[in-house]
Amino acid sequence: MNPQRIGQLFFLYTLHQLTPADEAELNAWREESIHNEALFQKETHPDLLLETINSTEDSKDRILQKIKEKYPGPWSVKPLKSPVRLYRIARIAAIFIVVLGAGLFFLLRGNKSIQPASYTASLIDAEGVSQAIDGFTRGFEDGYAAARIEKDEHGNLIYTTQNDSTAGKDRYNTVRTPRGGYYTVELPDSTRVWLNAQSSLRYPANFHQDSITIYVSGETYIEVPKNLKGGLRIITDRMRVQSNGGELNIQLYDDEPQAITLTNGTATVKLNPNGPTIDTTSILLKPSEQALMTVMKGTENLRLTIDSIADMQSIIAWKNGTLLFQRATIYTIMRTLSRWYNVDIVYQDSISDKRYSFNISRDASIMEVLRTLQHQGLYSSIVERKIIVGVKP
Amino acid sequence: MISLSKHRIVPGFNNREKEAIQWIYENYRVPVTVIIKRITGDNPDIEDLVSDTFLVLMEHKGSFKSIYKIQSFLYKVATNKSLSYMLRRKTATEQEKGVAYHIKSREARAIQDAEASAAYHQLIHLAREKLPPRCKQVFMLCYIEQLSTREIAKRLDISEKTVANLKLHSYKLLKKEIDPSSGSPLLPVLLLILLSLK
Repeated sequence: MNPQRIGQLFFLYTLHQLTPADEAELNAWREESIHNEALFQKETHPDLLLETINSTEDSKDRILQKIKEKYPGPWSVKPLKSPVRLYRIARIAAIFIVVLGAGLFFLLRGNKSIQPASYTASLIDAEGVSQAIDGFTRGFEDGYAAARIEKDEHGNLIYTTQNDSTAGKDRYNTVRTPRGGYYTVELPDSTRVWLNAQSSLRYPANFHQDSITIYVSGETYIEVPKNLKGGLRIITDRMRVQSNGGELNIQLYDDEPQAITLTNGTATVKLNPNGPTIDTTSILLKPSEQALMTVMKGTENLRLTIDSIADMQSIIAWKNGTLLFQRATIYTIMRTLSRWYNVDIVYQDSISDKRYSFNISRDASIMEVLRTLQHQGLYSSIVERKIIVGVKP
Repeated sequence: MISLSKHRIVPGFNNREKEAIQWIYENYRVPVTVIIKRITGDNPDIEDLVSDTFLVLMEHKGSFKSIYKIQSFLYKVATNKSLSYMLRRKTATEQEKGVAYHIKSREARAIQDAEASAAYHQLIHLAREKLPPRCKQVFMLCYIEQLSTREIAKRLDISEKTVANLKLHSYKLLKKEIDPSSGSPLLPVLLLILLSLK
């Protein structure tokens, strides 16, 4: 029998989809020789199947890399010809994303191998229309949200929004990063916002207002220019922040302690008066101070406590392009990796409460990170898009 | 998986366009790897042999008339590369014994087996790519690891009922892919394989 047909029968057998005729054909072939039967047993055995699937998935990117190195021609990015063309591409990308929607997003995402986060986000305008705003290096304009992406003085990409003075004052745009994405936005008043993975920034389309209010979620680092007229109001689910110049890190992930840390300048913080709290006094933060939101013992009320932060580097490492941990628990580390590499984490029962420290580029592969942890005695293995912590690969 | 109109693949590849090259790589990397692995066995040079196989295809001067030609070209190169790799490693012992003829006949059989395994794994790879993430997980546990519903439920920490539903859903999706009357995306590949029968 033809090898292709044999492979096809094995496949239908594995999927329990043999028709009676197929089955007869397969059985006849198996009975033809011991060799045939041995090949059938060997190939359809779960161990070899799993090994083959895992090893071909694992080597996929390395092999492609080798091909690209030796045959670089087609892989180099061709410069885009004109802004018109770029604009068209942007439109197509936007339509593509809206039409295919979240379902396909997850499907495609699930098929890719694990990569560090990339510069990617979607822009959602006041009408709720979403478009992808990744990787464009030259300007494009689109409807209400005129914008361009440029490199800043350090070579980092920055998405610069433009002021639409004709827009209604209540019109807001949102930039949202997925898991495994990060982004940097410059607002018309020169405020810069860095978005970590799974974060969002909502900002007014029209900046001709007495004071500007923005909304953030996830983790963001905000640089408010000094002497900003009217200052900047930052609203989170639970907190209100006002700054007239300064730099602050706002950490709001659901599974982490919510905290606002000031690196320089000044800011005042208070709890959202509509939330569960009895204390809404404004607290003035000084550089290197952190306002930490905690639940008061025995109640559901929230409160803010102020601490001096000695290890500022760990807090803002993500913004500076590193994954930096100092004596962190494995849970803290894995939560960060989960967002950055867009992977799920499964813990084996017996995980010690040992603490780990390391400093690695945020572009490092997940394997490099796991190897670093392995040197410190913690084994993990990867299955599909899951990290199994505490299991030898 | 890269989506590319069927008609664009061969002309695109003849112009060495990135998308077409990626499509070819994504669709043939598994069977090519399997051919090389089954012939040469486990060795540290597999990734080099696979990338070299694709490089020979990329550097081929003539243009291809159909996807079947590209496929058989790739399989031939993979087989030849594997054999010369084996000969390089084996020469010293086997040739001295003067059993060259036997090697040859054994290899003919080995090549056939490798191509059957390659076809098998290409279909598994393509089927996996068609499934949404949760179904893919159940597909792996149910069809590849051959675990029972109870074992899968335990492994994924979900109820047996959910596993049964996911299994049924995966089964239906795959059946749709395989059934020739449904006009599904896996069908062109199956047809391709059937058409390449000689």
